[in-house]
Amino acid sequence: MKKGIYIIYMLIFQAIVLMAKTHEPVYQDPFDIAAGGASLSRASKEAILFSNPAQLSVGSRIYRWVGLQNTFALGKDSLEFAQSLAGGESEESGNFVQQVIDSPVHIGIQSSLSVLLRNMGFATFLRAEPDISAKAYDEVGLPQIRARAEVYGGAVAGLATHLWQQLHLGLTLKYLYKSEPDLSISVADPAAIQRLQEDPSALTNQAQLGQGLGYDVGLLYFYQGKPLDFRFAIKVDDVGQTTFTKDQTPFLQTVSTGILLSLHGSTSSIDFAYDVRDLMGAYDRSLSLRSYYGVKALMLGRLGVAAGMYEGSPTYGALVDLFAMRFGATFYTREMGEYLGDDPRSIYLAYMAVGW
Amino acid sequence: MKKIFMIGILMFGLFSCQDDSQELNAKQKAEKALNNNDAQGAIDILVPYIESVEDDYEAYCLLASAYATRAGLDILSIIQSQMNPQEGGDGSDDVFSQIEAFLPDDTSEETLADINLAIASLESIPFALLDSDEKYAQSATIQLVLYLPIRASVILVLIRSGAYSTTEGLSAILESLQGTLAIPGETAVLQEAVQKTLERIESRPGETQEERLANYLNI
Repeated sequence: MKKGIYIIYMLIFQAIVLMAKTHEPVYQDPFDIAAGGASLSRASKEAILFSNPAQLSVGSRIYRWVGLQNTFALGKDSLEFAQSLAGGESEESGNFVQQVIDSPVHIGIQSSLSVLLRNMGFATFLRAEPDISAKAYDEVGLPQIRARAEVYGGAVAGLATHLWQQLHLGLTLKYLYKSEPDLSISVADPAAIQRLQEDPSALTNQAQLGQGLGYDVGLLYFYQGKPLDFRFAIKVDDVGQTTFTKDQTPFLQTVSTGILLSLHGSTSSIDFAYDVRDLMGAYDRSLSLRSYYGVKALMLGRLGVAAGMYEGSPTYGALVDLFAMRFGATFYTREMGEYLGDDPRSIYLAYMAVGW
Repeated sequence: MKKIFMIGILMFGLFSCQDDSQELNAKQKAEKALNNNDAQGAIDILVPYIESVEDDYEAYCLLASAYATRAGLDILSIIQSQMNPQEGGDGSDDVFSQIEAFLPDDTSEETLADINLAIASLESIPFALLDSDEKYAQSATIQLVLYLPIRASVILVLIRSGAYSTTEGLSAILESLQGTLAIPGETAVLQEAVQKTLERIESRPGETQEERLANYLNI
């Protein structure tokens, strides 16, 4: 009987997984990204509110964190692009397009102000990441330049409680601003470029900030042992989907799951985590682009190192916690295209947090 | 605890064993191959695909680009020279002079064969559909406006090297240039150059168009 239940469970799960794709959260902690972005079972500080609010009720401390964190993102290739600009190599537009093909431009900022208590938390945030890329051949065989940006901001509030024994339930209410302008122009179509110059409304309409109200629900099973902890998380993002004003596309409802094994002492720990997001395939992406896994080691509560795989590409990073200040750096690669290897962007993150 | 632990381990194993490569469709594979400088790989994918799905006109455009790339043409450079006439080429409004700089150093009959295949691929799209706002129609017209005069220039190179019959070559050059003007859509820089070149040819002495062209080209 038990075997039968296992088989049914596995078949259902496998069917769901085979249909699945992924969706990235609007806000992620850079150290969590360094650990492959697997944060459903255990996230850092304010990222708990975005990753899985059920984590709020884990632990005994009533006061957990109040602070400000700033992150700066720079695409690895953007450095080469900047160097070529400084060298005056892009004076001719031909060189410019070729340089963007060779070195896509990606920069970004992310800021948050947050308060976390046991069972509840609040954060305001802003994230903006413009990106310019090009390719020699688009789907109809001609050179194309693509300009896009992700701009998110707003306020989120999380509540959590433990239902019984080791099971925790959390809810995040969120009021979001969102803009995702995305414009592709064929280099070979001067008429399209001219039309855009004469009537930029196509771009300005896309760039308008839409507002939306939504909520996420998370569950967390947390078994605490010595020296091994085990966590299992399930989360529903954007329940019923989060719609936005100003014609911005909605955030679709997604179901995600994650597990974590943690070996720990009194001040040090090593976590192994694995997340699969968007199990139901709302965003129609491949399994590799929905998979996030990695290792996070915290030593003496002051030094952290992490490594993992984020959407099929390696990540790593480190942080130093100096009481009221945290500094860190992360390197990761994000797939900006439709499939793994289509349009990858390697990104450096540098961040600093002030808080207690 | 043991049960939950088992479920977790099984889940982990399940995810890890999944085939995590998204199945790309033929056009995505071909596009990826082309962007990785593998024109032959793109052709090998697209030819059987087009045989099975005859009305996917985007694929015809992609195949044309693959043939043109295999021919040794740098499409990006050619397009940009047309958008910025002061850059690239020799600044002349003679179509042969404009294109000469972009022909591969080892222009040969194979080059011509590939350009002919690129044009044939684009001409597989019904002509009536070219005058539309569809992305494939815009790509097809842009590519035809490029490849037809390039074919004329390649034939000229082959005539001069003795690899192509002069009589047949002159007719083929005229056919390509006149075909360029028939492509619908907004007039491109290259079409204007073709127009001016044809007007100059007409002003040369000779009883037939071929004779006037031979006079113009000094062959």
